[in-house]
Amino acid sequence: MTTTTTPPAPAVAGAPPRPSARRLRLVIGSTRHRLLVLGSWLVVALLVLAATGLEPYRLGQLSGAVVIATAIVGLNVVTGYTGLLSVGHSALLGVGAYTTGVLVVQLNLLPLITVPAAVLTGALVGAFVGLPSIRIRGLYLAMVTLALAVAFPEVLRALPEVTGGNSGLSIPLRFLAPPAWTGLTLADRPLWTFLLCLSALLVSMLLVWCVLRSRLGRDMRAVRDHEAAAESFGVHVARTKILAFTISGGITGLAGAMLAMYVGALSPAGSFTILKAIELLSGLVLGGVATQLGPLVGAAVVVYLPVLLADVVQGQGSGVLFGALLIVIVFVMPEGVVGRLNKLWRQRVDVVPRGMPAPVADPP
Amino acid sequence: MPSTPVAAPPAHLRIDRLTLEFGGVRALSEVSIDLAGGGIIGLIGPNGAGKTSLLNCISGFYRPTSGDVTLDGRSVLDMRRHQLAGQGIARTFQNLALFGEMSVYDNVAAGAPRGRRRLRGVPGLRPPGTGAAERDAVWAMLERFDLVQHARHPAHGLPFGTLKRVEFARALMARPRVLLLDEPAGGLTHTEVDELGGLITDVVRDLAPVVLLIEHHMGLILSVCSRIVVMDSGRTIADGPTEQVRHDPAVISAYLGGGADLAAR
Repeated sequence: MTTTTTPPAPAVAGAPPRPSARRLRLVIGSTRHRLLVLGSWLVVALLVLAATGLEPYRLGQLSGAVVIATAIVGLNVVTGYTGLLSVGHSALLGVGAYTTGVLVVQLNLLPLITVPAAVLTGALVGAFVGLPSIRIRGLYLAMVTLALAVAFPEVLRALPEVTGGNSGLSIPLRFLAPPAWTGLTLADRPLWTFLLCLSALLVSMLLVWCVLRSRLGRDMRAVRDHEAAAESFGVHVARTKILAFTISGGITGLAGAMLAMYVGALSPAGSFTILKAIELLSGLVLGGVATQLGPLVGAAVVVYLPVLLADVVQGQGSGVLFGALLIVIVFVMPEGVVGRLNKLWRQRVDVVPRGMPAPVADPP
Repeated sequence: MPSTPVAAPPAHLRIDRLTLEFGGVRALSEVSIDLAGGGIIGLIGPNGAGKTSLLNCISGFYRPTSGDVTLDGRSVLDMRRHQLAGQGIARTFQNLALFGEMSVYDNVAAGAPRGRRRLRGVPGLRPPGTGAAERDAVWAMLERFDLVQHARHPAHGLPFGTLKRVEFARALMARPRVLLLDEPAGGLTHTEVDELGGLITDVVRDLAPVVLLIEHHMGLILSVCSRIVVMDSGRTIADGPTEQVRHDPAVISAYLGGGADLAAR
């Protein structure tokens, strides 16, 4: 997995020319590798810095994309790495968003304080949704999660005293203003929201990175690739699936809390229908299933492409064009954008992991 | 994890009057094999004799209708399938059962014994050195099986013979006390089968597991096994030292339709 943690940056420029080797040799932990990682982070920092200078409307749009990216990071844990198709992540997003919304509106809590609660409810509901995955998989599991996605808005409507029913919840602006200690004013709210959403995304990605490096991450992928063999080698399949759903639910719940703060108004018909779940799945597939940077690219595509197309084509036509473009992307890059970039990166760069014995001569 | 010889006595696997029925069909009837003393035991017999069914009962994939399988006196039938690895039972599969999208390295590492290590993925929180020991063991195993050059390649897409080695390496990572091999030579070339025989004898010298080897390749069976169990129609029809079994008329007739020596195959 080391190749996916390193962004495929064009690092070849600074490397000494090696005419004999077609592939660049990159030893993990070497100075060159460290410089590359440092350089990548520098690029990320510069991009973030540049983003903070965007006009408020654009910054808001970017925050929306960052929230979607976080939700896709969550979906990736279950569907990408554990191989369990979930069409119910719109509901998990909604659980997180409504946890924050309800606690702020009904109990007058500060939104930031409600974030852990949103993560927790997301994780709990995620674990609950994961229970059927012990017994069923594939399309049957998709059906169960689909039921959750369909039921969730109705549950919201059925509890008007708590959720505001059809009209939903509106978080008063005073709760969404940046806290005094930040030195930001109410006018800086888009920047504050953006920084919050970005932190949530980074924390989620860091968590997934840690999980993938751990035995749990290997177990998840083993369960995805061959459940019976995984079990034969000591993987507790049921526990692995439930943990994957729990982590996934927690991250998606976090995305929901960010969504509540970013939008400020929640309603059943808004962001939590089955359409949102499909948007998240499309983003995951387009960006690259089971890649760590895929969710970022996928979110960018599903958030920005419709906007760009609406500028080009008026009315219904843009939706059709969007669909057509998605089909083209999937045909050209079935492994997703980042999946394809990873492949190209591996063709050009030979990443040598730690502890690898010195290369031996090719057998005759 | 250096591969030093294990001083502990070999595992005692015992199959006791094992019967397995699917509906009205008896896949196994009253099969009893005592594998005391260890070594490499060949399990042969025509297709449909129940060899793989027996393996699947030992490794928890099938639940026998009656009878028992014990490891050092403890029944393994009560254990959940994922617990068997912890008891030292490892197996390979007749048709490869690898983790296709995972790298060869990760496939082999997945066989490593599962200690009580927590938070290994979190930098700074894991105990120092825990990752390195396993990593070195995996690389040593890959080197031994000539898999280093494939280590970072996903399992799918590699040649069949290579994948067979990956499966064998994964099973050995667990340092098993009982190793169940289901047709490891199937689909391999002549040279590969010879190498496999060498590997199996090496493993037994280093780890001293009980090896139950299902194989149709008689050359391999005769060269590595000290004892052969012959099955036919769900029963054991012969069980004894290799030299004795290969000349057993009942075995020859069941296996070849009579008139030939097993070694002639």
